[in-house]
Parts: sequence; structure tokens; C-alpha cells
Amino acid sequence: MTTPPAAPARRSLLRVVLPWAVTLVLLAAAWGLVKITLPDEAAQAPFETVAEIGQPATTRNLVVTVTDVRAARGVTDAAGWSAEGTWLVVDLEASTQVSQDAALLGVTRLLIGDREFTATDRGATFAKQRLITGVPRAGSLAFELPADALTGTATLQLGSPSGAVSDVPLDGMVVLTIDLDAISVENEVALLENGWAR
Amino acid sequence: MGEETSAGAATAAANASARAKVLGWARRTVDLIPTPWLITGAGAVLLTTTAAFGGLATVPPDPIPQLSTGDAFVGSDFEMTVVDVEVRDERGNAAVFPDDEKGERVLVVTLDVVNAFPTPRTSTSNGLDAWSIDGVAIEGVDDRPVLSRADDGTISPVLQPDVPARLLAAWAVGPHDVEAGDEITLTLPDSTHQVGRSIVSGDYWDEVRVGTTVSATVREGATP
Repeated sequence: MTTPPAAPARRSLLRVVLPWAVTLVLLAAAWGLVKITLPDEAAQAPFETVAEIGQPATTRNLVVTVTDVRAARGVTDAAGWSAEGTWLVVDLEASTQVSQDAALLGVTRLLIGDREFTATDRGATFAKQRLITGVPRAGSLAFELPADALTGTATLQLGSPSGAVSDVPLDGMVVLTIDLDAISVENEVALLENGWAR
Repeated sequence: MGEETSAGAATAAANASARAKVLGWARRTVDLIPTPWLITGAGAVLLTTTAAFGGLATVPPDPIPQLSTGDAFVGSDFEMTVVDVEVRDERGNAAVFPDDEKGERVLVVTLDVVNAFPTPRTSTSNGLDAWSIDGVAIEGVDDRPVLSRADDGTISPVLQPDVPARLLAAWAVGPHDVEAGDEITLTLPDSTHQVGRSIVSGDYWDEVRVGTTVSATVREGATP
């Protein structure tokens, strides 16, 4: 019984500290794991291709050139339809690259802040337009927005879904960032008539 | 070593007697409390509380608010206001086609609608339950209305977040089913937002119920 008195003291100290230290390490590890885990939908997320105005952007099947972005308090289409409101108009040319089977420009989303908008189903626009392989079609998409929405940054998402869903899981998606503050708001703009690109 | 043990034994004995003393005191104190009375008292408190909150009767459901035309109602994450109810011969921008040979007319409910949810939503429900604007119903009528925009007649329009829209909910009615001056009761839908995680994905609206009733007088529509 001549054990040094320091040893049991150190051992008991270790016995108190060690569980706490292990607990803290495990908690930190769990927190880190939660932080780095991707959201559920990440496994199906589309592959994004960043576009620039005037430059063609190419994904698996979709080729898009956004030619102009305009904002207005009213829009008119080639058939004479018109509407007041707050509008963001995107002029573009689009074609498919691989297959024109059931190829529509089905995903036309605009994200501003927390809100998501889709291209309007009113009037004659390029929304849900049939796309042709290798031969671009041209037209305008129109987004009807609340009066206060034309500030900050907007993200335009374009995709050609291959199924019935209006989403492009695991497929390419063209993404364009738009600075809304840099766009002057006109009184009225005319939508391009859907047709072949020149 | 021997001395230490005897000292330890003495301490242990002292501890034991102290513990016995405390235990004895505690037991005597507890014995002073009339336990049956406690149980009776607790029972009485429980019964009084239950009685104070209405006994064991079922809680009546919240009354359905009754509104009239022009009052806004928020349900299914839409803000809906019934503006006008009219019966007319011409369909105008309404999307129903009355059979002239049977003398059918069009009953049109004009609604101001704002989508209060941050993503676009269809005005016609894409499912069995009518949680969207097509859940607007006339009491006693089972048919769902056909929806269109009042300004350009777009059928079943998509409602963009926070963008107000005037919609027409229309039914084809027989020649004498509804007359101008009739009082009708409309019901506006309410439902609960859910986010699908496993089988369905994304946002959907569930538990569809009547959110409010709106009483309105049918007007004779202007004949162009």
C-alpha cells in the first residue's frame, strides 16, 4: 500500500473529465455532421450552367441565349393582348441539342428573395414553347411581379424537363443572375413574336 | 491500521445513529399528515378544475365566420374577397359554355385573389380535394366552378405570389335555377399547408374544410 497519493487523484480527475470531454467531442462532431449534410433534394438537384446575356449557354439538351432583359409597367403581345402591372420581360433564343422529343421550355422560374415566380400563362409568350433540335426559336418570357419586387438580385432558371413534372431533376439547367436595380423600368414593352431566331 | 479501523467503525456507528434519528423524525412528520384527506383533496381539486373548464362535454368547434361581399378572408394561404355575384346570358370572360337550346345561363362569382404563399400556385386544384380557388362553392351545389381571369379570360390561371388577380368562378345553371335577387350562400375553402418528404415531395395542402361562408345577393348581369 505504498502507491504514490498523486496517482489515484489523477485517475479520479481523469474519470470526471474524460466523459465530459468525450461528450463535447461527440456533440461537436454531431453538429458538424448536421451542418455538412446536404438537404434531401440535393441528390436530385439539377446541374447548373451559368449564362451571360448575349452568350449561348449549353446544358445536356438545352441551348439558350438570353438576348435582353427588360422591365415595364405594362406589356403587349403580337396578338394585341395587353396587361398592366409590374413585368420583367426576358427575350431569348432556345433550341435543343440532343432530342426534340417532348422538348418544351417547361422550367421558367424567377427567384427574387424568398419568392419564386413562373413565366406568365397569359398572352402569347415563349412559356412552354416547343423546342427544335439545332434550330433556335426566339421569343419573350414575361414574369408578372408584385409592384415592390423590382429591386435587388433575381435568378432566372431555364430548363427543358423530359417528364411531365415541371422540374429538371438530375438534368441541366441554365441559370442567369439579373441585377434588377440596373434595369430601367419602361412604361410599356412589346413582347417578341414567337418565331425562328435570326 | 487497527486503530484506523476502530476509528472508522466509530464514525460509521455515529453516522448510522444520525441517519436513524433523521429517518425517525421524518417518519413521525409524515405520519402527522392525514394521507386519505390528501387523496380526497386532490380528487376534489381535479373535479373542480374539470367542471370549471366545462366538465367532460366535447369542446365545440370554432364557429365558422360569416362574411358578406367585400370582406377579405385568408384561407389555404390565399387572400380571397368575394366582389360580386351575378347571373347572365353571355359568358364574357367566364370559361363555361351555357347551352342556349336548354336556356342555360351563367352564374358568375367575381373574386379578388392574392396568393399569400411564396411560390406560384394553380387556381384549380391538382388533386382530389379542392383546396385552391376552385374550392369556392355554392351551398347545395356539388359541381366545382370553372375559373378564369376577369381581364383576359385565361383559364385556370397560375397565381403568382403577392400579385393580385381578379378571377371569375362560373357555373352553367338552368333557366330558373337562380334568379336575380336570390340570396345565396358561398363557402370559401381553408386547408393546412404540408411539405411532402417521403412519398410526395414539395408543398401540398391538406385537411380541406369550409373556412368561411359568404352570403350574397345575386345580381342580374349586364347584357352587352
